[in-house]
Formats: sequence, structure tokens, C-alpha cells
Amino acid sequence: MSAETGLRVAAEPTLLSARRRARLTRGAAPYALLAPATIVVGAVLGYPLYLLVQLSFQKYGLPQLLTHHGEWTGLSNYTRILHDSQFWHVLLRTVTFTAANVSLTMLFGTLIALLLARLGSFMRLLLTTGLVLVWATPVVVSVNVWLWMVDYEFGVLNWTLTKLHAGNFVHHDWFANTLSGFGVITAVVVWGAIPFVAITLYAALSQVPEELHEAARIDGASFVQVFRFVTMPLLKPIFIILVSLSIIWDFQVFNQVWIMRDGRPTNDYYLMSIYSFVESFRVSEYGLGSAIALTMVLVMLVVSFFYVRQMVRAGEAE
Amino acid sequence: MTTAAATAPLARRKPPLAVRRRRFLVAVANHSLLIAVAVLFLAPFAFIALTALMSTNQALSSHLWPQPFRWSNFVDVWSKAPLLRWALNTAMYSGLATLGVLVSSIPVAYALSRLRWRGRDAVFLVVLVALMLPPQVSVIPVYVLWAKLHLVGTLWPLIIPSWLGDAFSIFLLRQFFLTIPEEYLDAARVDGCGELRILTTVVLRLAKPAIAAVALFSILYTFNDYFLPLLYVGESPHHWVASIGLSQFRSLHQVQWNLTMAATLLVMAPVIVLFFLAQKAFVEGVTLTGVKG
Repeated sequence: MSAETGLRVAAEPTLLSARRRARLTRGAAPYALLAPATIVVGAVLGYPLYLLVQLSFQKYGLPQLLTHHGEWTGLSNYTRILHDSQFWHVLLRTVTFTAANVSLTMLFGTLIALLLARLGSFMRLLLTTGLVLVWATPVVVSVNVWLWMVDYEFGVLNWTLTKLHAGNFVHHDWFANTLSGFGVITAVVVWGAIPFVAITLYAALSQVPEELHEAARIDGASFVQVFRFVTMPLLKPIFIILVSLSIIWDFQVFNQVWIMRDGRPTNDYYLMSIYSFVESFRVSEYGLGSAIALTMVLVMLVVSFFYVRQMVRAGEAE
Repeated sequence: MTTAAATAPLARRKPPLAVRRRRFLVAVANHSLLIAVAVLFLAPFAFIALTALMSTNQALSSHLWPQPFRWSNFVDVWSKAPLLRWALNTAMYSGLATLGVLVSSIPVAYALSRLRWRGRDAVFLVVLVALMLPPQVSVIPVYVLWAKLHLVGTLWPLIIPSWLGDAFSIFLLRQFFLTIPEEYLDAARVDGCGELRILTTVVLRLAKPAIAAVALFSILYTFNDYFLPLLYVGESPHHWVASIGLSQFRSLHQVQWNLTMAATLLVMAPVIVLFFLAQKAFVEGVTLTGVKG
């Protein structure tokens, strides 16, 4: 084919393809491809939400599960949990737990991301490999090994602390006290959550033009000032996303607590997710469990909403 | 050249002692921090490996290094628990769910990125909301639905939902499809390809890295999943997957930490193998979610 005919052939179908695309857009093809998405919206999202709200207004126990019909009881599930002091304790504990976990994850994640940016490429690759390995580790595996390390009789942590003369930790049970028990749980959760935050932040950091840092340094800015006034504002969008995601993830921590307490957590180890799970699937009060789950989702949405608004406002004020 | 002339430019180029000392200290600080972080993140893995090779008594002593190496732990574990059954169940859950995620999410991602139709942005918004919405919303009602269908106690409630599309995979694939130059698709349209054929012949080939990342994430997610298997097959040991089995194994063999760690290592082995085979796709996948917006 000569160049001339090639050009003509190329020019004609461009028109044709545009027309065809216009026709296709109105045709059935997109809607056929869309069918799965419609199911996502309808079946996987909307319908369960509707059912959850419905269940939360019903008495739905084992007999109702067998006959598939709930008994309408109005607001009784909600009045029950709101008058239950345990609910308020669990809510407070979950909020505190989330705040601690998100702050620690973000703090260490940011520090490690900054460290990654300052290292040579070989060291960086080494550290990234370690991080991604931790990130890929199954939660059961990490809980098992952490339990082994803090084992009250033979754990390496008690042994090391005693050897270092940090006190007598022989036969020290870390789960005897709820606070230190949650300390261990926090360690496992944060340990597993840092890699995602660190790698994402590092990837974002590497997009910040070096000239900006240089300019700030020439103007005499310290390391902290460069971070505060140059890096931080540029990373704000990704920071907002990471914090919101962390809040959502840490607010619903279940596995770590459940496996660490051998599937039988006592009341003082209840977080919202565990409380809802036990009420629904162990006590078989699905209605009550739904009310707890819905409250939990609302609290989570309110917290993330206020957080995001705060961040956006702070950005506008500057 | 005289010595004075040779040293003068050198001396001028060399930063003052204070600066050099500070730079050296910063480098030391950076690397000691690096070592601390690396130890913190990798020490647990060392403990798994070392304990897995000890005898039961040695695991309970204060010695950190196995003596002698007891490789037979890895054999003993198989007789202590139905590892093979767990492995088969896990493979079934992981394989079928991953296949489902790919088959259902790729067309949706294509429709959301490369076709123009009314309501597209609205649907994409729904996908984003689905991504943000906590699973607590659906756990109880979906369980009640599966109970109605009498499928609680089987692996199907874990597998079937992934055939209906997965928000995270759709999001990730869409982001990648958007980077494919329109010219490629137009060329195929010129040659008379329908949209479905463009998807299967052109887009799938160009988007291999993204599809690999999505498949990896799905395999990893299902392999690590503990909550849903606990909910649906927790009471029926016949259908246990590795994660449930492993947590039960530890409860049953309380002080035999060497065997528990050997089992832990065996469960982790596929993840490690997969990880080293596909390390690049992993890191790319993680970066893909964050940066390319």
C-alpha cells in the first residue's frame, strides 16, 4: 500500500468510526456490559442495606431464621442497645482503639515512607520487599507468631525483658490486663497496616518534584519545615484517603481480637464488630446484631465525614 | 602540576568538616533506623522459621537456635491435622473466586472507562461507595439470604458473590484501562471489531499487568480471608480452609509451639512463593491503587 492510499484509508474510517461509536453508545452494547454492575448496585449493595435496616426493626432469632419471617418490633432493638451500658462501653473502647491504631499507623507509615525516600536504591528495594512481605502475610499467621512471642510462659518477649532487667516478666500474662492485651492487639494491627500506608506514601512522595524541596532548603528551611510546608500540603489528598481508609479498616477490626482470644473473647475484649458478631451469630439475635451494625456504620461515616471536612477546611484556610 | 595547584581545587570542592560530619551522622542515623525497622518487620518471620525446626522441649527453652534441626516436624504436622483437605478447600475457594472476579469485573471496568453512555459516572460513583462501605452493612442480611437458600455450611456463599463483580478490582482495572491510548481501540474499530472483540483481543493484552495485579490481590485476599470462612463454614470442619484450620491447630496443640509454627510456615509457604514469583506485579499493583488517580 502506498503512503497516499494509506492516508486516504486512514482518513475515511475515522469519520466512520466516530459515527459507529455514536451509534454504539446509544445501542445495547454498553448496557449489556453494564449488567454485572447493575447487579453490584442492586444485589450486592442496595438490597442488603435495605434488609439490614429492615432486620434492625425486627425480632429475628433462630425460629425466625427457620421460617424466614421476622417479627416487627419497631424501635425495641435500638432502645435496648441504647439503654445497655455495655453498648456504650464497647463504643467508647472501639473509638479509642481506632484513634490509637490510626495515629500509630499513620505516624510510623509516614516516617518509614520518608526513610524510604532518603535511602539508596538497593536498601530501598530491601525494605520495600520486607514491607510487602508483611503486607501479604495472612492475619492468622501474624497472630500466631505474635502470640508465640508474647506467650506468658515461654515467649521471647518476657524472656528478653527479664534479661534486660526491665523488671520481672517471668510468667507475665499480657492478656491478664485488658489494656496491655489491647497493646498486643494494637501491635499486630499496626504492624500489618504500616506497609500499605508506607508504600503508598512513598510512591506519592516520589512524585513531588525535587526542585520544590531544593528551593525551600535554599531559603533556609529545616527538614521539619520542608516537610510541614512543602511535602505535607502536596501529599494532603493522598493523606486524606489513607486516613479515611485506616479509620474504616481499624474501626471494624475483628480477626486479630477474635483469633487472639481463641474465638471466645470476654466482654472486656469486645469491639463493635465482635459485639455485633456475637449478638447475631452466637446468641442468634440477628435483629439486635443488625441494629448494632447499623449504628456502627453510622458512627464510622460521621467520623470519616468530619475528619475529611476538617482536612479540607484546614486546606482552604492556609 | 605543583602540589599546591592540585590540592587547592580539591580543598575547595570538599565541604567543610562540620557539614561532612553532619552528613555522615545523618547517613548513620538513616541506616540504623533502616536496620531497626527491618528487624521489627522481619523478626517475627525468623521466629516462625526457627521455632518450626525445634523439638517441643527446645521450643520451650531459652535457646533461640534449633539444635539439632528437626525437619521431621514438617512431616509430623500432616498426621496431626487434615492439611491436605484444608489446602484443597482453600484452592477451590481461591481459584473459583478469583476466576469470578476477573470474569465479572473486566467488562464492567471496560464499560466504565472506554465507553460513553448515560449514567456512567453515577455507576462509577456507586462502585466508589461500595469500595468505602464497610462489610458490616452486608454481613448479616447476606447471611440471612444464604440461610434461606440452605447454603450455610458450604463454600458457595464465599465463591458466588465474587462472580457478581468486586468493587476494588473494578476500580483498579478502570484506572489502568484509562491509560490505554484511544488510537489502539480506534484502529481495531476501523478493522471492524465489535466492542466485545476489542475487549478480548486488544484491551486484555495491553492490560496484562493490571489483570495480573487484580488476580494476585484476589488470590491473596481469599487465601488470607478469615472472617467469611468463620461465618459460613466455621461449624463444619469438612469445609475448613487453611486460615480457619490453622487458628484451630494452635488452640488444639497449646504448648507444641514447634508444630504450630511448622503448620504456620506451611500455610504461609504459598504466599511466599507467589510473592517472590510476582513481586513486581505486587508492588506495581499497590502503587497503581494509590498514585494513578
